[in-house]
Amino acid sequence: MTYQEDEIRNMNRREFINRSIKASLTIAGLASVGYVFYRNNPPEILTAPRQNISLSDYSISKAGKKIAIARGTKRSDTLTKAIGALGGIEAYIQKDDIVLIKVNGAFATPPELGATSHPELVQTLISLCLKAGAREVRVSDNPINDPESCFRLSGLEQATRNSGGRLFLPGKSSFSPITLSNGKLIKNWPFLWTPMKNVTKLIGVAPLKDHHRSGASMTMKNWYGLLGGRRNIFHQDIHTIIEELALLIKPTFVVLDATVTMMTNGPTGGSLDDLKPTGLMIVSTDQVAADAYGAELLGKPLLPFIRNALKAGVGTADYKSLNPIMT
Amino acid sequence: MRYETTISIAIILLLLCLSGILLVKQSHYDKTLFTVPTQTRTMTIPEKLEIPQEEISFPQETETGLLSIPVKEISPMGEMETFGPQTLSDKIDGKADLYLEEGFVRLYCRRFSLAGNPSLWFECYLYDMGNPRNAFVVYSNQRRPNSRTSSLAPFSYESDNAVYFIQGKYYMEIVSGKSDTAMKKAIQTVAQSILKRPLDTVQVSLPEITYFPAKSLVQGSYKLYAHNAFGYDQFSNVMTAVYKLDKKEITLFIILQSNEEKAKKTAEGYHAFMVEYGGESWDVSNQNLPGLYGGDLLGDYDLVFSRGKVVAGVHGAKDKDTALKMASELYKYIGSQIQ
Repeated sequence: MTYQEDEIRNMNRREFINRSIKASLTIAGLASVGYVFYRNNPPEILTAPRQNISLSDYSISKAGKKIAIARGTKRSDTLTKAIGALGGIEAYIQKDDIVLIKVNGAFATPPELGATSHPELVQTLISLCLKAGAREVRVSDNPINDPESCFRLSGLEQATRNSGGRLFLPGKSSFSPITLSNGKLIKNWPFLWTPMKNVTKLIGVAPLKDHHRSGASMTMKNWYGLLGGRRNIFHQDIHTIIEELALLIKPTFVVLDATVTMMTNGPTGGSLDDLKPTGLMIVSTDQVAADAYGAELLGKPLLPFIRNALKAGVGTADYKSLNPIMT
Repeated sequence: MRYETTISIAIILLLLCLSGILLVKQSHYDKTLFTVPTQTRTMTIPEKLEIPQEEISFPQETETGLLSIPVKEISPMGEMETFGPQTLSDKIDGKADLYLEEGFVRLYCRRFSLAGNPSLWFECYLYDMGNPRNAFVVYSNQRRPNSRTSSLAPFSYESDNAVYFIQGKYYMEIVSGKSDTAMKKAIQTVAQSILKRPLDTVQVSLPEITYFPAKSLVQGSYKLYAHNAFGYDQFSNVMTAVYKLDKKEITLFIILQSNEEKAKKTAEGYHAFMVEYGGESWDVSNQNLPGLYGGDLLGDYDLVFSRGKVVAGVHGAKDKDTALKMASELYKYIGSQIQ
């Protein structure tokens, strides 16, 4: 006779009930722990697909090509005024939209140096989008070097948090290959895909800066931050890569922040002497027009990438033909 | 009974082991693979981005002390980062070319904050440019127009939020986002601390400077162009300086050649280049300056001549008289220096 058989044979009724209750309580306890940890809405897995992806057209055809220029030094006011002049945020963002704001978060520098999108501007834009009914407003960029520091020190992380947006930092699984049809440079190149998944509206927000290689860093150059891989090889053909990015990406609208302009030593700057107060906020549905206006402010009206984008039919470099609304 | 007990303990240990594995695995998952529900407003930050090994550069043992600042008022915000020619653009994006074209070797960066106040921070950028002249090229070409010459080092200047200087083969920037007094003081202290150390004992040699007259010279306006100065591919190692005459600024330049013949050919070559690329020859034969050539480039006037091994001239002047006057003074001054 085994030990268990002997014990069962000698067990009385009371002991049997006691043991049954203890066993039941143990099982119920374990089940309760499982219930506490159970989630019926698990996080969505955002692995970028390995096959080539294609981008939607995020522009709003009925909005047409427009440009508004607001004067002032307070970014929250000038942005609101400029968007208002283009018909208001509701003309572009509808209920349940998922919006991606592509900022310039390329450097781990403070906002005062003007090398990155200004947090006040981003915070205002997120708030406007959420107020218009957007389900979610995402903020992202691929700075390559230590994205966490770039977003934290530029103030963009805090701005996103404060306004109820969601920050997407690039990781190793965030990129999918993309190809621009008839493109020369963008062929099976890693593209920051995870923050763009299910996005219905895309807004580019860039500061106006001098750029050592391209002449200027504005709204079209801002898309460069969506590329992954060893993208610095494109610096050898910078005007073509900017043109191709502008062909690839059709935003809802772009914001060019010229509240202060980095006139020299761009794109990093580093000295407050590199900056000039210009007190302007440009919002446009035509990225070429916005850049053409910005280039004039920098005193560089004939930049090759603007000419290329014009020639490729991305938009118009004659921003005056859009009858800019000055506010 | 002993047999059953042993089996039970083994099963319990196995379960504990599995729990441990699950715990470790779950706490190291790739957070970038997941979104977080909006209502939590939590950011998805990866613990650490994995960069391919070949793209990471680690400081050599001898380099680790370069940005150690033994100043009690300053706290480092992290470890020193280093970037080589392949990764420089990861840090400074499109500005990398400026350094790469001038012999860049390595960039060392580190952030510091004022002790007890992490919101007041600044970053040190130390560029190893291979040799002192390369360091001077990147230093002089980025000099901010409204900056002030600093007493920190022979070649140094400061703006409201930063200081810039060279020491030997190193070009250094210490940059903050604020321009308040405490920050300025901290930046100066750090610069002095770094300059106390002999980072590089070989100091920059700029013999061209001796050929520029001192009168009317704008302090700190020297610039050295290593290649293709003024768009001319034969103009290498060109030193320029700005002069102020009657509120007008004018740029003079000096190039040192290995012999007189080469200097003469360089001056003639620049004149030919001006005429070939859209300029018009400006007849200056009546100026009594042997070997002087002039060019009118759509209203910008250039003059070039050689004297001994020195090629010199005026670049981009807005009026002819000032250009001729300065060329004459430069000609005489060079003559006095080469005696």
